Amino acid sequence: MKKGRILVLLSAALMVLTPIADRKAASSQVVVDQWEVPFINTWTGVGAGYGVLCDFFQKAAMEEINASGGIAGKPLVMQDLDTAMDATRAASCMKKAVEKGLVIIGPMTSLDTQVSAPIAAKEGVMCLAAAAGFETIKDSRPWAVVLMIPNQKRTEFTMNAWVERNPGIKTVVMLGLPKIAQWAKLGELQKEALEKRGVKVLDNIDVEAGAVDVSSVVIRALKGKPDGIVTRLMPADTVRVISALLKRGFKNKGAIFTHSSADSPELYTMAGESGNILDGTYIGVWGTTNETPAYKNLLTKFQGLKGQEKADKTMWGDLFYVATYMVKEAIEKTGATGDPAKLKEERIRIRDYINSMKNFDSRIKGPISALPDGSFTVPDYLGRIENNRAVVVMSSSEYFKE
Amino acid sequence: MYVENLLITVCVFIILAWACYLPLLGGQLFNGPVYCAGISGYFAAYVTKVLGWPVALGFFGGVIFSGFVAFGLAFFLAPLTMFQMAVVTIALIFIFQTTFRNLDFLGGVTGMSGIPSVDHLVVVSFTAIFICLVLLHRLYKSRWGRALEAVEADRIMASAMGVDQYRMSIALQSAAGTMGGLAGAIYAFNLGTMHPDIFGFGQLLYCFTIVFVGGRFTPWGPMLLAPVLWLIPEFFPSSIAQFRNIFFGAVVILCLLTMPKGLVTKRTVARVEIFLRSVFQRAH
Amino acid sequence: MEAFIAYFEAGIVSGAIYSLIGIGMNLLLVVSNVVQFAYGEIVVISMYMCWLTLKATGSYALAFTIPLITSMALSLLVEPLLRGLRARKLRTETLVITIAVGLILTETMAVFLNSGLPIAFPAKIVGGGWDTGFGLIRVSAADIYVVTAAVGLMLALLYFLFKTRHGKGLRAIAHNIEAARLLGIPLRRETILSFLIAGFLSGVTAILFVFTIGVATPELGQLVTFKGLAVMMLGGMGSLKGAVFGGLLLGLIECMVRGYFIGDWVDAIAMGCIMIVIIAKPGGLFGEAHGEG
Repeated sequence: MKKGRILVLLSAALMVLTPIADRKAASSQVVVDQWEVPFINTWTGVGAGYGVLCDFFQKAAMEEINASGGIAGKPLVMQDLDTAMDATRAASCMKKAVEKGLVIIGPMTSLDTQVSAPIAAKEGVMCLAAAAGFETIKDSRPWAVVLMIPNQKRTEFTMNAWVERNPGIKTVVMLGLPKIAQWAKLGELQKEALEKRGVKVLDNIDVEAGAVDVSSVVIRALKGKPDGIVTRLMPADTVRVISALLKRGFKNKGAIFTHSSADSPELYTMAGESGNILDGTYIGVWGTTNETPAYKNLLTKFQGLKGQEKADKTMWGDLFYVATYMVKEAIEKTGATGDPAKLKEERIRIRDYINSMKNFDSRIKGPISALPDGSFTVPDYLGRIENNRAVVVMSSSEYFKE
Repeated sequence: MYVENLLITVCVFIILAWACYLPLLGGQLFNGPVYCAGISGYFAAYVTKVLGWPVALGFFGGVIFSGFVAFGLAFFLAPLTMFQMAVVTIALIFIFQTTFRNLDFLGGVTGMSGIPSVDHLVVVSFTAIFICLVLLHRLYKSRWGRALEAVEADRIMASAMGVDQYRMSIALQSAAGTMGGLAGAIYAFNLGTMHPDIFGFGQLLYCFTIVFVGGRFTPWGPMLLAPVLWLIPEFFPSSIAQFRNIFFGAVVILCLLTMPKGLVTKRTVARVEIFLRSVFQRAH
Repeated sequence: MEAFIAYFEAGIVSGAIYSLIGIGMNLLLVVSNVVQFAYGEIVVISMYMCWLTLKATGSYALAFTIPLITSMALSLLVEPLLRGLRARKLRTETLVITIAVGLILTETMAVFLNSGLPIAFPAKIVGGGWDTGFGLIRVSAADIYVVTAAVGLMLALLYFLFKTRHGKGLRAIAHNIEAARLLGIPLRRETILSFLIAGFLSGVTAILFVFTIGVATPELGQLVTFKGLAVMMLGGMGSLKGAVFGGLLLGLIECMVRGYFIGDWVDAIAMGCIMIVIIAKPGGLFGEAHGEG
């Protein structure tokens, strides 16, 4: 009799608990056959060259992820959306992406991000605008993050580390692109960092991208006889401006600093064609000194691309590789199921997860953590160009003792 | 949301194309609608986001303000010939863009985002299309429309017949500027962002492609072509997406070579009108 | 003072570059009534061809011949597209076609040539091989080539148009096409000749760009066309002399603005000056040579 009661009680307990257990199991079960993640990028138009490279890195990560079992056992598939570097089309791409997207990778350019990140924020979808500037997402926080342009702390690092190696620098002239928001902001941060250090900024000169004439800006830069020059220009303009500076009498190459926005393979290709003109100058460096197997593998694949055979490191598009892995981790760790009925709550969990990432294994840039302004602690490096290669002199982690 | 955005964007381009088409009726190559769209968009963005005006007031305020700007500038531009006006208004596009980029209270180089949204903006857009179409159609059938045709055919003859071209030019520019402002306001509230680079030379070229390939002698051409031109890239197969702009250029060339007056001409419209009338008469 | 002289010299050089562009575009306007919106793209794609040839063969002679052939070939390819519309005096439509051609050429560069990334020419040819000067003032061989080319080409074209049979034929066509036809001037041949010459000019411009700028990107084409338009508007639509002086003036204005004011305002101020010139003197500084109403 007693045994009978125990059996009944046990059965009753099983009957009650099993549905609960089933529900829990059901709630962490992925319901989709594949994870379709929108990727907003530029494949056509004048920026297509860079967009195609960003796509390469993003797809490289996707292939690796799928080769190792996908995300929570399901393959990752990208919904490629082309903005053609047009703001109106970028907004259209984002409105398409937010319909079903759990999380979005991109957009690539700052303008596209400025225009479309607020749409993502309004609809409550996280977007990883890997290559945009952090001030382009300030109205979209916490629904957007960036990986690229350094924030105030990191800008101070590059400026301080450079000036420390050139103690004779008391005055500086800056040359930058006027029409791109992230670089205008970067210019402000560089100026703040230099002035905090007691270096006077004599002038902040606008250099239009692809300008037919750079002589006049160089003359203006040298007019005040500055001790140092800071540039934040595209690779082609960097080579032209530095070449013109040297021709017009600025001899101290170590007193020329180029921002990492120019640090890409074509800079060195062009500098090489120009007679290794950048040797001796300093540069903020992308890539990594942390040569993990993943990085080496990625670099080998990158060198297989036409025109990149001589590349000795990757370029800033590799941030989309990192972003793809961030998406993988966010989906897996938050237990997202892809269930359309739970889309809203899963989006929020992914948002919170990404915004609170600590020591995320980026695989190619070391561990990185989220910062309150939406950027990440992607390391910066100060490099010096020797034999047309950027040799790392100091990393931001060393400088801040992180 | 995506479909709604597509419809609104198409409406914006139709209105902007009509704004460029209207002065062409009078033989004027007036590019003012592009900078008026920017002026209206920024006005609406600033007064609603920063000053807290109601959205409706900001919307109509932007449209009216851009109309006033076009009206004010028209006094200087009205005496110019076709190409001179084109040159000067292109110059104004660049001047306004640079001004927006350098005004901190308008967001400067970052632009303005966080513009309040408008409920049922697609209804507003379609209403705007309907109103513009009715006005253009009425203009076309009126004596003003006939005067415009006369000026377009022969300015000197039209002047000899008593057409006051100076006043007509001012009226055309003001109307075109107001329509451009309407497009800009809809655009700003749809996108939620205004940026100096949006309404520039590229936008002008796009609008003129719509007008000239669609047909610059009737409003129906731009109305039919704008959605096609906008939607082709949206549905272009991704495997050949990199050839999209080449394909687009080739289509434009082919259209203009085979149909230089555009896809929809006056003759096409007349034929359709005759057909519809006959159908209507048979039905009754 | 040193800076002012340096700006002046830089302004003359960039102005000479703009003049070359303006001359080529004005020639087509004078003879064929066409505003060639794809002119800049033809210049830049010729630069890309020069670069590719240099990379493939290492031969400078071949590398500097290919841009001329490329630009003339592209110019000739555009001519038949415009023929029918020109005959029907549909001028604005020809404009849209040239815009479409420019778009196709830009996309071709962005997609197929060097994967859309910028190209750079060897240091030993950029600058023309030598330069001299003191302080901020520098003059290079390339600077001299450009200024000489701008003036020389203008004089050569003026001689061609006013002193040779073909040139007079072209001017006759520009003045009154019906009368020219009645007089037996072979219209098609002469028009093709004008496109060929414009193509040659754009090839020469491309070579001079290699010496002066030394780099190229797909976006450069639009910038070049825009400068050409600005020169045409400032100097006078269709005026060859106007192209030279308009170009020099534009170059000087830009350099002075960049030197003494905020660089971002360069385009706006340059356009503002053009606007004032057009309102005050509607035909441009040297008037409209082909008489547009």
